[in-house]
This record gives sequence, structure tokens and C-alpha cells, in this order.
Amino acid sequence: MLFSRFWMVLLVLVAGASVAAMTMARKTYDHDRASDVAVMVDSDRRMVEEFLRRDARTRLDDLGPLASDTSLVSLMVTATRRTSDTPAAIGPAISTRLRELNLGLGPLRGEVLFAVDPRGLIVGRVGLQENEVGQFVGGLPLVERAIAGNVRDDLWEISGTAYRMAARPVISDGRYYVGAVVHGLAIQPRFVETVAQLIPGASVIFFGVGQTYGGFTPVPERGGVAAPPIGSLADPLRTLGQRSEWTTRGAVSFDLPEQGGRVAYAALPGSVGAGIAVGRGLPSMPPDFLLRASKDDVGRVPFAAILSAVAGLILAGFALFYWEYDSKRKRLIAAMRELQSGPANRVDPLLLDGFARDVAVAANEGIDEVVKREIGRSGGKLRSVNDLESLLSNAGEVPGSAADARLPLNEADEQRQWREVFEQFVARRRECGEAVDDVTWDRFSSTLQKSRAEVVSRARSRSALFTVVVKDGRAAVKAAPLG
Amino acid sequence: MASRRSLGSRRWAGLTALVFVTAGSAFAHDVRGTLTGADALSPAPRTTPTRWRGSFWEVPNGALAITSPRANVERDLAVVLTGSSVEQSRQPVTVSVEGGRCRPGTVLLSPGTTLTLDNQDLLAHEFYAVRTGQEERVVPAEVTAVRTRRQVSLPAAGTYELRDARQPSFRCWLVAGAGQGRVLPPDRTGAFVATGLEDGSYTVKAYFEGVERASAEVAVAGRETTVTLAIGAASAPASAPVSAPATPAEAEEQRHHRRRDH
Repeated sequence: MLFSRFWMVLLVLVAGASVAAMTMARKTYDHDRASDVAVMVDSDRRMVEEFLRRDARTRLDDLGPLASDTSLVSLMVTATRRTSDTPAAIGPAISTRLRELNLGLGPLRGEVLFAVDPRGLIVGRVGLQENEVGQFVGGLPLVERAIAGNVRDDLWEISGTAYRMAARPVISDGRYYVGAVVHGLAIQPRFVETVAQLIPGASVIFFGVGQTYGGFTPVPERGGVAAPPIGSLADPLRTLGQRSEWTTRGAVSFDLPEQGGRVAYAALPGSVGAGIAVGRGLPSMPPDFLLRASKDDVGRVPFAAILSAVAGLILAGFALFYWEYDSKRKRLIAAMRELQSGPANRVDPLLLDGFARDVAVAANEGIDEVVKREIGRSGGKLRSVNDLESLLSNAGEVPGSAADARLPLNEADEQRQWREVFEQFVARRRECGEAVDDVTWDRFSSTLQKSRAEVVSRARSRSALFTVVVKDGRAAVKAAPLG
Repeated sequence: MASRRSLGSRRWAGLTALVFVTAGSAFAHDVRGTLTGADALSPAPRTTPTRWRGSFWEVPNGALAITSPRANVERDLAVVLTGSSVEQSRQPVTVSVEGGRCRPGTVLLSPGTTLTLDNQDLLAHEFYAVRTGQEERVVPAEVTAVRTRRQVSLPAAGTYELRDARQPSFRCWLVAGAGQGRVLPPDRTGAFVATGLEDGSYTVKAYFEGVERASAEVAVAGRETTVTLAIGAASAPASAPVSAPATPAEAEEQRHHRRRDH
């Protein structure tokens, strides 16, 4: 009982665990992918920063030949030695030379290019506010450090546009600083797209204080995960300052639950408080993922192991059921318990086989002997089958006298017993709602005689004991060997 | 007749005015001065926020030694003349901001004076003010875009730093106190001039980064007076001979030699 029930519980547990595992697998997959995306977004952010760092170095290096151009150096020396406060006289010549040199930079041609004298005044200018000279810029960190001899980059915002700036000192004869050249490239949509191509599948924005300089959102590949749109990357900028990681490290990443994405922000070096943000969509396993399985996916399932496990469980179930319900031993025990609890007064050997039948027959014989002895001792008063219980209950008190207790003493006695059985049978049929009109004593006694003969010949007994039972809602007569 | 009388009275009025102007000019004199020793001033390093980075790269050029930062005489130093006949700083005081500096580098004004910050810079700024040595903002940060103005007012006397939330390198000091006088902007050689002074005693002071670095008493009495403000040394007496200043180009050349030697 216990083991078969345990097996049922096991089956239910296995079924429940399968459903739970299926659900959990989706969640686990989503969680793992979210962790992967978090790592990926941080990696994207670092990759963009590294690209911008290298880009700055490239611009600084490419500015080298321009800063050492002999014509420009000569003009800068003249500008440095001028006596007037304003560089208006030398300005046009320097601007012209800067324009020529700028064209030679090719793809790095600056949208902003100007030369500064050692006092920090612009002495030549190309691009933005072209040819305007005399403005003091020497206190700006980029210019101040370049005039002092450093090669430096920066990020500026001029009229709402962000510029990647680079500056180099201009040196005369290898002995004197005569100013610096300052070069700037705007962060245009094309540049943003170039950056975004470094990290396929991710959105990128460049932002400043209260504004976005540019952004790019890739078109998702078929079946791919859509990256968060530019707007959703820009929205958290308002509250970025409230995040401690941002204020202490200048970099922070977090989920965007509403957009189903992950985003990382990083402050960029420079004078405008600018930064970059990269974002990726969070993949999730669809509910119908089983239907999307390919042949390869199906081929990877260990069907042999799974079927073996299922077959093993089924066999184990059968074995447990047989052990607990269908084995000879269990059937004999059940018959004995039925005998003990009633209403049967004998064990039916026909329901058993093998050693269990022998045990049942021996038990019946024992009961008969007890009954016989009890009847003998009582002087024949106890002659009814209905007295068996009282006989058996006293079996211990009259040992060896009940073996033939239920054997009819003569034919008339047997007929009387059969008549009682007949009356019980008719009564049971009525109780069960069965028709009793066609049940006659003659037919009934004739059937009992045939049945007794069969039992006697089959069980090699001296007689047969008939009892009325109700089985499946119908009255029936059960025959058992007697004597 | 009437027109002749009118013409005559006009002539008299014009003649009278000419006499008064001539007389006034006879009593107004100039003070010419020179700042010396300013090249020895070095801007104090600024504390930058932990996460702030100014650039990806800042490396020496590899060919010539880096020069140490020096004070820009014509922008970083402020010379102020005070005296009985000098008007106090007027309201509002307007300060030009250009190239990451305000000019002059130290602004002197009376407490409660409205200070107008005129951003003539290439870049926008986000100014705020703190008392020197403190971090509490007495003027909150606010963006001042290019070619726009912002007005601020200092609550009490004291020395303040005007900072830029975007550019920690920004430099500007505000000194609020009584008795602020006329600002005499020096040129790049350190020369300055005060014109139209009446006879009397005056004081000339030089400020750098909000601190008085030199001062001298000047007595104006019937002729042009010269003064030398020696920063880092005792002030030269008034009416001392004016040393011949180097031409701007020569002064620049001298500075270059010093940087190279450094």
C-alpha cells in the first residue's frame, strides 16, 4: 500500500516537477540572458570609451604635422612678436595657412581650427566664426595646457553641438613655444553611427547637460531583440545625478523595465559634462518556445535516457502494485482478514492458488473441525451456519471439537440448511431489487446439488458449504469445500 | 537785435565753459604705475571632483619641456585705486567671462552689489559661488549660455570663489567689502594708469586670486605721479622713477626664455 501510494505520489511529483521545470527554465533563461546583457552593455560602454580614447589619440597625432608646418610656425612667431594688442594684422595670413593645412587633413578635416598665441588670444581661425581673431581662450584647460607644451584633447559644446577637440603646442626652432593649434570635429550623426557599428545591436547616444547631441538605434535583425530607442536612453538623464554610482564613478548601468532593456551611462572626459549611453534589449523566451524548436534542437534531446526512465518508473509501479496487491501472499492475507472481519465464515479457496489455496483449505478444515466439536459438545443445538461466529468465538474453549461442525448430519439436516440459504438468497435479491418470481426452491436446490458435486470432486471434500453474498449489487451463492 | 543779443550770450557762455574746463584740467593729474614680480605668481591648483576627467590624453609634446602655469598679468591680476575722491564701484558691476577666466581675475565690489556675469566665452558655464575655504554654495549653480548674462549678488562681505560646475579649472575670485575703488586694468607688461585724479592721497592695491598681494600709497600733488607695485616685495615709494618697460614682444621673449630654462 505504502509503496504503491508512494509511486503515485512520485508520478504526481514528476509531472508537477516537469511543469515547474518548464516554467523555471524560461525564467532561468530570461534571468541568465539578462545577466549576459548586463555584462554585454558594460562591455559595450567600455568599448565605446576605448574607441573614443583611440580616436582622440589619432586626432592628436594627425595634428602633429599641422602644428609643425614651417609656414605656420613662422607666422606664429610673427604673431607672438607683434607689438599690437590685437592680432588683426597677422590674423588673415594665419587663417589662410590654417585653411590650406586643414584641407590636407582629409577625413579629419576640422570643423573648428584655430591658432592661439602664447597669451591665449586667437590669432587665426577657420570654420566656426571664421577669421575672427583676438578672442581670449587661454584660460580654457585645453588651450592653457597646450600653450604650456602639452598635447591634449577635450570635448566642447559650441552652439549646441559637441566637438571632439584636440590641441598641440606650436614650437619654433625647437626652442620656443609660440602658441598652439586647436582642432575640433563635431559629433555628427555619421560619427555616432560609426560608433554604434562597433557594438552591433546596441543603441548609442551622446549627451550633454540637458540635451542629446546625437544617437543611433539599429534596426533589429529578423528574430533579434530590439534595442531601446534613443528617447528611452535619454529619459533617465534627468535623474542620473541622483545615482551614487554616477556621482562617484561617473559610470552606471541599470535595467529599463518599461522598455525591456538594459542601459549603461558613462561620463566622457571634457569640459561640457558630456557622456555616452549604450542600451540593449533584454531577450526573453517566448511561451511557444517548444513549437519553435528546430530539428537539431529535437535531435539533441536524450530521448533514450528519458524513455528508459519512464519505462523504469512504469515497471517499478507494476512491481509495487503486484507486491502489495496481487501476490499470493497478499491475497491470502486479504482473504484471512475478510474472514476475520466477516461476513464470510470461510476462506474461498477458489479465489486463491498455489500455496495460498492449500493454506485456505487447511484453514477451512480447521474451522469445520472446531464447529463439529462444538456441535457435538452442545448436543446438536448448534446446527445453524449462523451459529458459526459463536462457535468460532468459543473455538479456543473447545479445542478439537469444531472440525466437522458445519457438516450436515443427514440429508434432512442438509435440506434444512439449504432451505435457510434459499431464504437468505431470496431476501438478498429483494434487498438488491432483483426479481424473485422465477426463483423457486426446486431450481435452487437442484443448482446447489450440482454445485456441491463439483466442489466435492474438485476439492476432494466431503460436502460443500453454501453462503449468500452480495457481489456488485447482486445476490449470489458462494460454495466452499466442507469436510 | 534780439538775435544779436542771443549770439553774444552764447559766445559768453562758451568762453566761460572753456575757462572752467581749462582750470579743471590744470588740477586733474594721472597716476601711472607698474606691476612687477607678477611672473613669480603661480595659480593655485584646483581641486577637481573625483570622477572628473578633463581629457583622455594630456601628455608632454616630447620636444620641449613643459612650462609651469604662470599668472596672466593682464587678466588674472586686479589693481584697485582707492582714495577720498575716488568713486566707489558702481552698481551693477559687470564682469566679462572669456577663455575660462573672468576679467579681472579678482573682482572687487561692495556687499549687496549686483554682479553681472557676461559670458563672452566659447563655451557655456554653470557658475556657482562659495566662500573661500568652504564648500557651501552661497550662489546656486545655473547654466549661463554663450553670449548671455547672469546676475548674482553676494550676501555679505568676504572673499568668494566663483566656480564652474562643468569646468573645475575655471578661475574667478570675488572680494566683497567696503571701500572698493576704481579698477585699473593692467596691460600685459603690468602697466596701469589712473587718470583725472585730484590732488590728494591714494592707495593702490594689487589682488591675485582674491588675496591682496601688494599695495602702495600715492600722493598726487600737481603733476603726474608714478608708482611701482612690487609683488612679493616691499612696495616702491611713490614718485619713484619709472623703469623703462620692455616692448611687449621683448617681454614675451623673456618669458619664453624663462619657460625654456624651467
